[in-house]
Amino acid sequence: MTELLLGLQVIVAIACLWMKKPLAAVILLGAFSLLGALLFYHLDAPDVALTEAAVGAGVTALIFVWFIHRTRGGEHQE
Amino acid sequence: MKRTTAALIVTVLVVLAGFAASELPSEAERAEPVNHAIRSLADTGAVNAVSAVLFDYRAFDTLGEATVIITTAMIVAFLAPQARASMLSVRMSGIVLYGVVLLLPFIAVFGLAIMLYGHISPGGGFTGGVVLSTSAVLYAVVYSAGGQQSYVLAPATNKMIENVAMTAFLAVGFFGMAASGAFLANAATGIGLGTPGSLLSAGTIPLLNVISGLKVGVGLAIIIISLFLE
Repeated sequence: MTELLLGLQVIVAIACLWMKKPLAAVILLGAFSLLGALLFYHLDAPDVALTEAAVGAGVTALIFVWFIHRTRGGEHQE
Repeated sequence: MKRTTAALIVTVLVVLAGFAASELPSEAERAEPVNHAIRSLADTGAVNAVSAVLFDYRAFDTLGEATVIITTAMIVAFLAPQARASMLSVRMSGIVLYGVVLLLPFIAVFGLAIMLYGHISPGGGFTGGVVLSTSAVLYAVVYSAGGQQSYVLAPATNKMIENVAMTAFLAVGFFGMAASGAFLANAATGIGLGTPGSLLSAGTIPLLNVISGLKVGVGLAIIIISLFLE
């Protein structure tokens, strides 16, 4: 289970790097945090899992989404 | 190229994390309570050993964290005053407006439950406060859009709660000092630890949970709302 969650985290993190739109990358980052929260829960650290879910998937994603909006979609050419 | 490097670094780090995880105790070993968890229950009356560390053994560190948040909230509120915040130019769709109404009570109750039961079950003041602040931020951002600003609590009330909670935290600390000679003392002050597992147990831990939960919730709400509506 630990290996599965870690593997999924790698896949999500690498997919995040290849996203064209910043919003898609931020949503994948939220998924990464959620997988991290599941991993912590699996490793018997529910306190850390709750904090990871609230801060990592919640507040961080909220702030990123908001500032993408404020910078007009973050259009950026490679 | 940059992305390939980043992908390689991620893979290496996660492989290292996998090696670290393989050294962890097995599930059967983890099912048995370890020595220090039994001791912390006797020392503090808190079933949740993490809360026992955060709000009893190392409560002074938590006070330090609380100071970091109040300092940040003060600076952000000073640099980006909410009173002069500009309106948002976007308009939220009906789905967002009604979805938020349906979601908010659940988020708020979840945050309060995490906060109040911090000494019994996983969670605690900090996590509960963060969850509460997301509900306040959600409300402020969605309902301030394209119209007049609206908040769950007015900015002035937010700041007052932040100050009162900070003072209350210090007051609990000085109470411990007056009763037993140690700052933020819990069991040594002679207040009953109660039955382990009941809501009113573990001495000052539930009180500090509520205080720090309110403080963190209101502090984060001040910081994020100030930045968002600035």
